Amino acid sequence: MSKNLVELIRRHHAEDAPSALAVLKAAIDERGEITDDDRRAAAERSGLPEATVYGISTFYDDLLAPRGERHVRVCTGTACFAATGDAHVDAIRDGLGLGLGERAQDGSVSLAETVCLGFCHSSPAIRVGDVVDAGPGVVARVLGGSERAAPEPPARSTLATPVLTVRGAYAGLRRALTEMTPERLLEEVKAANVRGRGGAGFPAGTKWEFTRASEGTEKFIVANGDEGDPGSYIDKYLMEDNPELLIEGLALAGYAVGAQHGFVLTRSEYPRSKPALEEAVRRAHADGLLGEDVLGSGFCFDVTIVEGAGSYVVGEETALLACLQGLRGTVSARPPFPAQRGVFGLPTVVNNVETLSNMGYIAAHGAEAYQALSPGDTAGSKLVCFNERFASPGVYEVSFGTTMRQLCEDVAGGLRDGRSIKALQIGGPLAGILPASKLDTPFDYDALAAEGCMVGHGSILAFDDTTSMRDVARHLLHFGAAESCGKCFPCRIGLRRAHEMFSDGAPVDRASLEELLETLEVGSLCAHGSGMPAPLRSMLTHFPDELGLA
Amino acid sequence: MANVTIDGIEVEVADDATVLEAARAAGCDVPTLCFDDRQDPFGACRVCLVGIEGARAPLPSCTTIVRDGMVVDTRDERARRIASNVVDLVLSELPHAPDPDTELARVAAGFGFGAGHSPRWPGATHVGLEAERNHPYLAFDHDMCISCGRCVRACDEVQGTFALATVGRGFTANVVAGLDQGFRDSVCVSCGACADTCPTHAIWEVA
Amino acid sequence: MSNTVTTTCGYCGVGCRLDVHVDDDGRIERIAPTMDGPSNKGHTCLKGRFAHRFARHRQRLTTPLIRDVRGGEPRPATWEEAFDRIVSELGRIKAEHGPDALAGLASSRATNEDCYVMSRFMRAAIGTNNIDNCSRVCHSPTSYAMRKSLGHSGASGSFDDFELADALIVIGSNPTEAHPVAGARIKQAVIAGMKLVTIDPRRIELADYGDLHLGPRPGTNSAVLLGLAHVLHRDGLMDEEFMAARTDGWEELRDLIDEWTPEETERVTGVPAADLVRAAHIYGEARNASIAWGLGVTEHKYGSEAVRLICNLALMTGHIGRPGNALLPMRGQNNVQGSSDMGALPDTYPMYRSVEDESVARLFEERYGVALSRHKGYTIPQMFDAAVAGDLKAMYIFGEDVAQTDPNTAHVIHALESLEFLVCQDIFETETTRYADVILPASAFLEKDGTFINAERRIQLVEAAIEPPGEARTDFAIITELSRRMGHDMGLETPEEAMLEIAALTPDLAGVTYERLGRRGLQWPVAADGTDSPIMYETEFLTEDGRGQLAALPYKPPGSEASDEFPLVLVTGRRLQHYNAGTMTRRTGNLELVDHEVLEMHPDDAARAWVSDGDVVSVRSAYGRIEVAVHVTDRIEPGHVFTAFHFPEVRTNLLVGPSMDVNTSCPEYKVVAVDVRPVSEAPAERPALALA
Repeated sequence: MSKNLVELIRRHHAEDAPSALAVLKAAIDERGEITDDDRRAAAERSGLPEATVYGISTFYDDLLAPRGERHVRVCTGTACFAATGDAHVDAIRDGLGLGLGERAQDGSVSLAETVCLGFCHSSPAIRVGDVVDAGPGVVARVLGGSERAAPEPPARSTLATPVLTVRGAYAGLRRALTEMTPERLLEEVKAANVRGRGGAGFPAGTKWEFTRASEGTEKFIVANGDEGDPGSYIDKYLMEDNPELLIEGLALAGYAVGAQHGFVLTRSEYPRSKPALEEAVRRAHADGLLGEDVLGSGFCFDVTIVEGAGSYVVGEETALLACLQGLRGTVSARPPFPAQRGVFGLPTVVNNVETLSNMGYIAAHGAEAYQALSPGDTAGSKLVCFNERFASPGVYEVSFGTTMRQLCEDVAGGLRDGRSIKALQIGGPLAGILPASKLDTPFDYDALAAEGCMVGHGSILAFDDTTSMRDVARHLLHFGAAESCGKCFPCRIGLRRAHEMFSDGAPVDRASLEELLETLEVGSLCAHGSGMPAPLRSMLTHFPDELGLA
Repeated sequence: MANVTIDGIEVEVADDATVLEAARAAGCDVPTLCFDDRQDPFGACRVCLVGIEGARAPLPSCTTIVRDGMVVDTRDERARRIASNVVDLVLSELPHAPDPDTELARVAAGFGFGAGHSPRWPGATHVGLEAERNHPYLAFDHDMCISCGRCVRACDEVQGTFALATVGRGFTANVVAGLDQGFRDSVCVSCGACADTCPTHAIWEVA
Repeated sequence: MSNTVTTTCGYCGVGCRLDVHVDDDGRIERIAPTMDGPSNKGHTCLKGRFAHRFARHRQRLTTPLIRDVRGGEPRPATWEEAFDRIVSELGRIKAEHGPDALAGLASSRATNEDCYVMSRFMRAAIGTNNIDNCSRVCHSPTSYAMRKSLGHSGASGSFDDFELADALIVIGSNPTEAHPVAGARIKQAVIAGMKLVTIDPRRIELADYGDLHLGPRPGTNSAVLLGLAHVLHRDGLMDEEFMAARTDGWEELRDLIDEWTPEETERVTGVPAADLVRAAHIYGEARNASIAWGLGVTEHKYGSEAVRLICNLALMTGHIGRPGNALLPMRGQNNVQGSSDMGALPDTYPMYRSVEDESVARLFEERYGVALSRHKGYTIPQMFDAAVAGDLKAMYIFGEDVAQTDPNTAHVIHALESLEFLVCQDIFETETTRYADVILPASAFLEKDGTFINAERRIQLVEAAIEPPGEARTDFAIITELSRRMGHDMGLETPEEAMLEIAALTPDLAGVTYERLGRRGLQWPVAADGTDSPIMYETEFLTEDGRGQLAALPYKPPGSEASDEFPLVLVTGRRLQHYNAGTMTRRTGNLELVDHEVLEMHPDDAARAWVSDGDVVSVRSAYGRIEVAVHVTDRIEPGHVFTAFHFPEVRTNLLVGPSMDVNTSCPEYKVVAVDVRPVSEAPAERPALALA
């Protein structure tokens, strides 16, 4: 990330200038497309150079597709793919007579692709304006102009003492501010050994400690709400239906680290998230839980909600910070780590939404109680979610250590329509694929890692017995190549090449593919390029015959 | 100060030195494509991968900070092989081989990719992008751009004009001046720092 | 195959080191910045990198030209014929009117060695101190003032101080256009956190990145500087320990600045009082702070006094003699510093030793083997006055286009026409060569060996990359040959020998050798053992008593002020793409980038004058009139207009009057009262080049 541009942003932000991305988003929301005049205005208002703004305007999905009066976005996420094999995409394209990214001549309607609306429980999903419709008949309803907001199943818990599925009430924040010093809170969080829930599993307490130790009086907490993994809608639930936990977590992090401001970066694919969080922030202000003097403790903390604009890689923490500041969401090499140079070049904690949502419980009940939520070594509980192939899809709070079979069969009720599981994709596209034969693997960091898989965000996405694994490979590589931020060479070119290898019916040379996968794994700058080979590796191990190898 | 061993040669470097700096101090040649001494390390090209004792996999030397006692092998088989693959990939995205006097051609030659090399992973190339030829000194062949970001950073970190930016994403990422106006009609001050640093002559000085 | 020659840029005072790549046919392939260049660190601007094609322009002078009849067409001649003519005419005039009827101009674009042999030629071969150089019309006030306040004429620090300073004031200088590489370094430092105050009637680009911009009325710099001093004192921002230990003159200064309250300063300058206070605090509170200035300070009636008031600020706060605490005059041309350092001045030998100093004069007499004049010669403006008065009969002008760049152009032309004999030595025909009797084809910086001294006192090697075209010769070869023919054989075969002679005669340069200069140069003073001086005045000043001299100099209004007849104030300056008279840059691709001059005008003034963007206007001063297209912009304050002087089609300097700095005769280019009106017809075009 350009130090100079970040500094220009810091200076203009201090004078309440909007981010360039916010101006561009507003422009396309208002007029359906972005012109050079909009870019000039964004440059002028944000204080960024015109070329930089041009670069931003060509990076995010939301800014690229022109919009008609009815803007239709069809979900091409993995859950929708698992449900229809992309038949819904063809149907809506044919029905509207438009290709993806096209707008009708008369401007009445436009069609764009969107990767995961978080309605994986009811795939396929299509968004019209800000209404997300999903499930059987969705294409016909959208084509007939009678789309309706699809219902979302309530989150459920398998735990005796639910942590993440009860509405937050700020008990942890109240306790911390009245009974605990920041140092004590930090010790408690470290002792709780909360591993990051965003995928990497890095201990949250360590991040807090680094940031606390960084020089400077102005620091920030950032909640990573860019839950981009197709098939995952856990953070969506937390942000939209239980936002108090997150806000409490942000404030606790601020208290422990010495930060006065928190940000949440939400996904534009989840149009409800930002308003829900903003409403919760407003309530928290009214209740004295945010603001100048939180609960009379002298602690000051405020929270700003920023919405992204459509980019998977923005879930990576340096890309997230770039997006939050309105820049292109590309990855930066570390060091410097966000704890040293984050938002506006100042020390910053970046935690996943679910990670932060655990902090209230830890502050209220202590590390020991938190540790006890799961039987094994991994502390706390975990939210998981299931895709539409399951009989009872939805968000569930579970203990670590439960086997995948228990989760799939006992919790989610097995697959619907008598189908059987062929393979599971757990924790998003950067993780391996678990074949049905390995369903007794426990749901835990180390056990899944041993199978080339990971906990990731906690999405559990089943491919049923009708699925072609070569189609899965092509689907995933299309996603991988399309979402590459374009910064590091292996990912930028390598994922394109990997996708090309599967894009026609030609046989794939195994040695050549494996060499390319290793190049991606070793050479890539971030987890996107280094993680995308994981499902391919699994398929090469478990489904070599289906891949059309030479 | 940190003591670091590079290919068996011990050197003492600053605590915040990069492995690349240490390698250069030891006189070991590590190829790079996105690196320029005048700019902050960028970590995009991954051609500077080296083997580091105790590390799971090769690491990019330009963005890895030394540790006291670190042992580095710039000739590490896996590091060289992956770097070579990356250069192979880079060559595969260009519509034609780079000029022999470009940095890319020299780096490629170092990996044994000379004239007539056919890429291991052939596929789409950058073709059909309009070239800019309306400036008295600077020309831009966008199809030869490998998105190393050196020109953008030269304009940012050295000149401070911010006339250039990376545009698009993924495979189609490229670079434009201003609002895709070209050098002449953007705020470009024609300092030429972009052409100076370009490793492929995508931006080049008109003779 | 190509050959690479490392040399020093011949454009501005930054002194970029350049690698010139030359092909087998001796043509320049391309120029790239040298990675280890101390001032440019691997960067350069479009002039240094690209604007070299003038060197092979078809209009280059390739043979001597002689005018048999005044006002007639010049004809090609042999060197023999040209030298004979010069020797006989200069000899005749010297015999008839005495040596002081002759004068020479050295060039701030030429090398130190060129300037030195030119001075020696005038002093020893002709026998007069009538030698000056074009720094007279730019930074002579800086030189004068810094010598008075601090003891020596040159920056107290280096460009590296930009990166070490916590705060910087840039006054009367537009570095991102006039000194692009220094401008880029300042911009990077500012974004990285250095506080910046810009002071200029125009809102220069750096102001967009700085903390504070002050836009005083043209000609009121001194009032701003006195106001800043007032606040430094009033608000306890002075380093009293430093002042007590190392400065003189505080009582007088204190009494003077007493009345310069922020409110009074605002009344005189138009700078809001609160901004002035803030600026003083930024400078005074910084641990390390520097000041850079340019011709916007010096080219005024009281320019030299303003420079002394700048020095006051550093002396009051102790912002001098330490890393990050520099006083940095931004020298306009590549060798403004060196041409004066080398003694191409009517009153001094190299390194500012007076021609009236008996022991110094003896030293040079001994070396030169001839008697030398003990009285000061004419400054450039005095030369023109003397020519008009009939006291000066011949001039030898080398590398300067006085008829384009000097003020009061009509007077200059009258002076040139009044001479009995004029020699011009240049690389192109210019406005000035139109009046020459003999025109000698000389060499560009890419064609010669020698040294330049940049704005941070850094002596850097210049190495020939290409040969002069045709029969053109190096300036050094021409001048030493002419001197020999005039009966004074200098015995200097190469520029390197000249530098050894300079070093031997000049204690401040005692240790300078080409070998020691090497790739990175040396910042003078250079001790006999080769130790150089990136920072001056660390422990003492070089004044008579070793103390910094605070100057109690009152504000006086500029020589030209807006009036009912001339309601706007014209400020002149430089544009990025061009350089000075444009002789070089107009013969390169830079002309494609900027091919005409414009007059910048505030929208309010434009509305009042009934002109809009692109209209051609007539600009009239008490001294002349030009026509130029208008560019309407809010970068300039209302009441002011701005233009450059790069194009002979727009002879901006026709407008500039005779007002000049009271101490150094530097013209008041920066304040000219003018009237701007629309003209209905297109401007009276003249061909871009005199004899195109």
